[in-house]
Amino acid sequence: MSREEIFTKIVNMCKVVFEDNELIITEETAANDIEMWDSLTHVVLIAEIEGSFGIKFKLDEIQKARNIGELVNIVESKVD
Amino acid sequence: MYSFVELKKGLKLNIDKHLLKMAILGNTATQLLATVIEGNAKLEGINLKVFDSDYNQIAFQLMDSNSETYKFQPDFILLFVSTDKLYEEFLDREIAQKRNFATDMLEQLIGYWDMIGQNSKAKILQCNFTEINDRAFGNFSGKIDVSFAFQIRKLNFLLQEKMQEYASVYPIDLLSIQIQLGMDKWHNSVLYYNTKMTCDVNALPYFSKNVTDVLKAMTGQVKKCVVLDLDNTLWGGVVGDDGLGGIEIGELGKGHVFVEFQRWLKQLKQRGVLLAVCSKNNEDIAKEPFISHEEMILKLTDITIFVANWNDKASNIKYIQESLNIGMDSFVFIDDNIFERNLVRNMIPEITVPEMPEDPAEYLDFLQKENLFEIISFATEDQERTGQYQAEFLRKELKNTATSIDTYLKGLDMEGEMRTFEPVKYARIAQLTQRSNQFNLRTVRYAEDDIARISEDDKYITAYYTLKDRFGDHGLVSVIILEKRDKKTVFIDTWLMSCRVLKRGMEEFVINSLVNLVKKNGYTEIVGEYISTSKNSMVSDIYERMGFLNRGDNIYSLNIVDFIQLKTYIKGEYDE
Repeated sequence: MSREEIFTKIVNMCKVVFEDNELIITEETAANDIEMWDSLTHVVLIAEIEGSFGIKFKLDEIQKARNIGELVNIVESKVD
Repeated sequence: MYSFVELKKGLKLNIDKHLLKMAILGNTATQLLATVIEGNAKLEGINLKVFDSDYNQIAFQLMDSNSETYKFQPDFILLFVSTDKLYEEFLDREIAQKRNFATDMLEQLIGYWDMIGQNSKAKILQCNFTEINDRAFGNFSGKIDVSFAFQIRKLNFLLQEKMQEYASVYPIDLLSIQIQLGMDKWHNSVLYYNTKMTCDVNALPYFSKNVTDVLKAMTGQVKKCVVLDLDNTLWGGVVGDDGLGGIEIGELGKGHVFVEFQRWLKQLKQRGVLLAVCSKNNEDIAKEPFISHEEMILKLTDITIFVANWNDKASNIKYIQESLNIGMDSFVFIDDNIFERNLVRNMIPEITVPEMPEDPAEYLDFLQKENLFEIISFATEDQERTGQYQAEFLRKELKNTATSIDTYLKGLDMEGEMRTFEPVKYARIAQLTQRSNQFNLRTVRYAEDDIARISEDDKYITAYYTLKDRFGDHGLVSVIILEKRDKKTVFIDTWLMSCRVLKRGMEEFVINSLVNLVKKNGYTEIVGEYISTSKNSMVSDIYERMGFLNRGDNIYSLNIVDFIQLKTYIKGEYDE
């Protein structure tokens, strides 16, 4: 799966989890940039990503992944 | 089952119903749990507002009568003491103290219940305990009382026993969710260490479903009748084609599937759910297995109404519903045929139609997971329900042959009785307030502990009524709760009646005896109120029919000084 595909899928999940279809998201977008992105919605986003890509995050990964690019990196490292 | 995202969307729904409030008290992070429970309740039409207390504050919140929890005035308090936290406490104990772990924890829970009882009228939803695969003693844990496995299982057992003594405590069976999902889907270690959430995000919908199921039962949404198809539902094959010897039923081969399914249905019948048959068949052929097949678990006596003909199933179900006179939303229709299921769903939107799996081997497992048969009380009368409805058919036959309604009613030899509430009847009385929708003047729902409180409170006069006739005993059929308003007036807080006894003169019997009761207590006026719901229009004019004066705004009053006894064929003990 290409990096773009992963990015697009994650962006779509963000729109659902953060309840905003108009969200403009880049790889640099971080938790501070999105009002709805708090520690709780972070957990939900991770669960959505895990379920959708069939992967599991490590504790370290969850705790340090605070922008979209890092999330894409982690997913990319885990899917073929 | 709703997904997490759907549950979150449910939060935004506006439900135009009486607001119910729930406080959640837990010792792990419960914010997401609070979200999904509120969302789930709203998706099921319950207007629920959830207050999520800060975590690990259970004792503080409950001890302080001015705490946020009590100020919120919750109708329910969900107590969620997670096993993960208990596990930490257990591990930190010296080995000699580990032996007392379960009894200590139970004491703590009882302490919580008592504090709630002193400070609030809230009903307690008590979660039981999931397990942790500790393995410090391997398999030997099972006989070592200082092992965690031993203590957590003991705690669940002690909890079950203790809850039987507390009418205001209602179990939430988290352990059954963990068993259904498995250890790894219930608890996500990464998530737990990251956020202190003991239950995985994807397991939360199961949690909220179970809580919502209990709330539904508490608000009167219970299933009372299962309508069953026959061919390929209760047995394998088609009895009309394959013949009595050709259908699959019995301990061998595929027959085992259907025997087991019938055993489970029989258990539902034992606990008071009515079973009905609705089959496209000739009646004699359809009944033959029930009469002659030795391996059938269900017999004709287990079936309240048996309908086998070639009419469409929606019409037949409507006929069953009218005969039983219970709400369509309390029916479950089970059929292997997708065409029949869709037809019934389309024609009767209120009925519950589980989307049965294709393989009959999965029927039972599937229905068990659906958890359709939630109740919040269980009375001995429940076990007699099928017989009562069957007697009703004999009465109908008499009615069809009687020349007039008066000769019919006289011929029933009815006897009624009025008594004040007594402890053995609390469960049944509470249940009637939860289940009765049609003949229910104000539709106030009470739990068993509410009924106990009311009957011990001087402010109230209570009465329940039983009715029997020559075909059988109807048992407890009507409930009255009178609130003393002033020196001369009592207000009818609750009047409900089982629809099984409508148009027999029971309404008149109740009012006649009620007037005597009120007179005996020294009051001279009875005030009644009708609160309209979508289901109780049949009693919109009952007070006027009983001789009350319409005071406007759905308020009615009866001056008992000039009351003339109403005509009824029911003989009764209130007679002077």
